[in-house]
Amino acid sequence: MTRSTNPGAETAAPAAPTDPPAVRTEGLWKTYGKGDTAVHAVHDVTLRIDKGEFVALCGPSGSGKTTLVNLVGGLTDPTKGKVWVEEEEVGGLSERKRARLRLDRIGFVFQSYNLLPVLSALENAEFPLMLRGADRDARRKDVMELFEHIGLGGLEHRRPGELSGGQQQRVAVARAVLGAPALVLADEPTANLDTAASDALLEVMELLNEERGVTFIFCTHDPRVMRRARRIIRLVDGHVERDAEKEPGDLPGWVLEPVGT
Amino acid sequence: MKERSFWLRIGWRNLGRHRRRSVITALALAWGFAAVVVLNGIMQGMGTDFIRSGTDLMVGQLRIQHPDYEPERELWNVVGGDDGIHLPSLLDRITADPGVREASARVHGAGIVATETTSRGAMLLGVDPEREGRVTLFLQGLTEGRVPEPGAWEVLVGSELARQLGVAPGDEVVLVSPASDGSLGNELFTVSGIVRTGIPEVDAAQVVLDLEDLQALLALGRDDVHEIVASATHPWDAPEVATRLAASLADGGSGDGAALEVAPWTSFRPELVDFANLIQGANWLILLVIFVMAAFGVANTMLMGTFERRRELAVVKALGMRPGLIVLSVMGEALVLAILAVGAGALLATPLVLWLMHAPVDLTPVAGEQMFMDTLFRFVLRVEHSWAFPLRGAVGLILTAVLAALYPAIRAVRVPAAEALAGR
Repeated sequence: MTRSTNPGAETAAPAAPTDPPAVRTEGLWKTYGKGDTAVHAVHDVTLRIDKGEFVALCGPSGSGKTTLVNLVGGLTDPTKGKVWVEEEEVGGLSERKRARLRLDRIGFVFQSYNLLPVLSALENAEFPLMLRGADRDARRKDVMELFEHIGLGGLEHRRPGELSGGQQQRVAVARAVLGAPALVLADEPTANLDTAASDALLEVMELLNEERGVTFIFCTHDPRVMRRARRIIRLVDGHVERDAEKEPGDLPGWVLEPVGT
Repeated sequence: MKERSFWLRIGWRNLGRHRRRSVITALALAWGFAAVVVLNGIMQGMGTDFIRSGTDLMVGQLRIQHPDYEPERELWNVVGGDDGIHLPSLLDRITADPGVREASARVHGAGIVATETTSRGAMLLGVDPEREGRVTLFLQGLTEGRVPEPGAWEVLVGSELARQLGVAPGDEVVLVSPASDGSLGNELFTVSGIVRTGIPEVDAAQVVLDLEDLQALLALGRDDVHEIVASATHPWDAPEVATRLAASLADGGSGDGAALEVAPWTSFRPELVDFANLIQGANWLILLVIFVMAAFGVANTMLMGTFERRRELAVVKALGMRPGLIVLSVMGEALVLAILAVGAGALLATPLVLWLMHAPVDLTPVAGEQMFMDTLFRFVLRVEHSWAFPLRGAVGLILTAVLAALYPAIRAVRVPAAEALAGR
């Protein structure tokens, strides 16, 4: 059984402060290497991201954005500290339960799309729903509705190699949001897209955030993404340098300042 | 897993990504499967021919005797016992079994065969030449003369015995033999022919008479025989036919249930069973060698696939694909590969199997004939049709391929998602 992804569905209520957070981290470290050669990709990060937030993680390359997102998604284990997704501690889960957590609650959007090349756009998008055991007709109906909405109508039978970068990324977003996950982790989703494609994609994400209360966490260098975000967390050398809420449309000057200024 | 066809479709498409490699692996598997099918068919054919040769020459594939006849071979322990039997009726009942091709009665004796100048010990065998010729082949070894005619007091003499006695067709010999009533039977016979079976001990001692003539010499009644030999429609069916005949002849053909014993060749020529087992063992060995090679081929292909698709595996892990399902998807790919290979292997093997089934290749002119276990072994490439082994081979190959994919599948599960997504 899949929930409808109809964009016209009712608007989700914002999370009350007392609600359990979508993501929580406590003293999170991720260290590669040992001794003198050790590199702390994530360095004592403690965060709380509430349900329905639209958060941009920014910072220079190598600041630990992707590693943090991978830790939240349970794709890698922390060296120290803990991560909770909807109050479920990710590190304490078996590989099987972690897979279940990702399948049921987390959607991923990757920088380089990462569609499965042997599947059509439709099959790629419905893949997580199929893993959930959703009814074939129902899930295809959901996919087609979303495809129409994000401008992929008529492209459903094309393989990734037959789609443009923007189209592929839209398929990847569809794959991430179909089935209404509580959390979408998007790693540089607009990095390979032109302005129009980026805007179209972000509008879809904003819509899902506003209507369905889906929590979005973006790793990004893209000012357009940061402008739409309602909270920006800046990472430098693996730790949180600044974490501030803002109005959508604003772009605080500090996010674009070089590190150390 | 609800969407089996989806996973098989993915397996098929993944194989198509490296078509040349997949085709080479599938062809290697197909060739292995075809080799298994053809070699097994040839081995099976050779085995059956050897067993036919070992049984059809003299002893037959089924033997019906008085239970006490072997091993002493007392003359009075005739089929049916003291109550006797009606021989033609018993032969009719035996040949009525669908597993029996033909049956023939025999009388055995032992005595001395003498000419005017010399004598030798002899094994006496009384047969109905016409019926015997439809059950066994030894009468085809006639090198001179003809088979004895009923009531003509004629004998066939083994080739080596004839040489030692210095007799030829038309010469006279005297047979002296203890009879069943305790008397000493003796009679003058004319040599009607010389027979060579290729079995040295038979050729050096065998004297073949018409059934009724030997019965008379041994003071036996017309229905008194020591054994009935029968040929089965297929040698391997003999044990089953023997069981059936034993049940159907339980009244002993005369109401005396204890007076008949039915034995298949597997019990009175156990060395042939050992030989058949040896062939079977060789078959399994061939199967094992080919399957091990197949396993390495599949494992290599699947392993290459998982190395090349590290990023995709990381993606499906990130999307929430369970480890078990990742294992199944890799094994599904191997399953598709193996099914294709079995299909291609069947296409390769079928023409060869049909050819060697219907037109066996006789290598005797090159390889010669060998006498082995009292059996004439001829090198004839003949495939014996059987569904069992190819089916077992196909299932075995598919299972081997799927199991060989287990290690690559486990490697696929262990792909570190974050590193693979980062291209490390």
